[in-house]
Amino acid sequence: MEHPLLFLCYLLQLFGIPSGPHYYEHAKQYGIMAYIFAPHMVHSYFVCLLLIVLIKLGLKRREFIPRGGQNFWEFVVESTYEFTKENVPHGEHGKINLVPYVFPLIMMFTVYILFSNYLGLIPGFMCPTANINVTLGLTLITIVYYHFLGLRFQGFRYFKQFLGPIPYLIPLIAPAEIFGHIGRIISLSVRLFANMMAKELLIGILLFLAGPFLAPLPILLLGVLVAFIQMLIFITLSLAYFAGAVEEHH
Amino acid sequence: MKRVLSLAVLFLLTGVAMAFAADVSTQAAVGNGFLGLVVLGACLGVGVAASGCGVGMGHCVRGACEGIARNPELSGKLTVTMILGLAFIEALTLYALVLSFYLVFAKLPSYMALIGA
Repeated sequence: MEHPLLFLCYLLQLFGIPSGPHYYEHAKQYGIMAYIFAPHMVHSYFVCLLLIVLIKLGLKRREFIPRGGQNFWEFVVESTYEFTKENVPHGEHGKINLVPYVFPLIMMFTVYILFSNYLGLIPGFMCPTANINVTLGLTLITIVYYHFLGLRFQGFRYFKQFLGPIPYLIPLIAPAEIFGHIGRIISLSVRLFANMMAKELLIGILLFLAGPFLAPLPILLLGVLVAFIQMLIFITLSLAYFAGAVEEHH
Repeated sequence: MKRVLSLAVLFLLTGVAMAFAADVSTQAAVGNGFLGLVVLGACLGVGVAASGCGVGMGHCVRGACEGIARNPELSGKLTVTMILGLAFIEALTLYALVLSFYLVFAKLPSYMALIGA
């Protein structure tokens, strides 16, 4: 399949920086600049800049009754806060209050993954999350952090979780638990990556087959739905892992 | 005794055949249809995975429909749970899709280079 024309990479090429979809085959001869300005990295920088600009614009005036941009961001923050509070122990019945440890990270995941997924629907841009490197990076943050939370709140009793409830079944249960935890790395990253890449491939193939007759429209509509749902799935699973690492062992 | 002897001869012959195997990889790729096997594996893998996940998704939606029919005021929460379940099951098909991507985009060109070009 041919290489797509990406506007941001074309813009960088006008400034003389080697950047474009042909990076993926000829990376060695361009050196370090190709790694920094690879297409998925360029679009990731663009998403971060877009977020900073939008949030700064939204918070220009702080009024008591919010309107416009401030209203939108308050809605996003409040829904995420309620969602986090539902899925993670938040201090009732004497349990640990995990929300201050977890909420900023979940907020970042929400906004970043949502904007990344929606960027791919605009013609001339690609999803940064349609690349396994980006999704693997996000997954590794979650994995390292939930082990860290488990160790912090439970000390070395955290590893008794892998041994199961009955002592003489340990040789059966311990490998299964360990492989389950390793499988989480692959499943969490590949789920997001495969959904986004499949959407892009489908749109590309439909354009090649029957482009002038608005053929990719149903796939684009499905893409809007799938982008939002995959963001929800990523956040729900991250919260479930955080809550599972911290809870009392039976 | 006779059985043990015949099994030993069989294993010996297999070992001898495998010793020659390292030399015939190019011939095998051309002659034995590895190219066809790669493409067949890529396509059948996704097909079988999608059929299993289709059955699972049908069960999920059936449960949601029955629940909403029984108790219409819970329809918001039931719909959210159904969407969550559908996304988890869909991920299983996508694991097979990723493997078929690997076969088609990374194994197939190397086999084409081995025979075609």
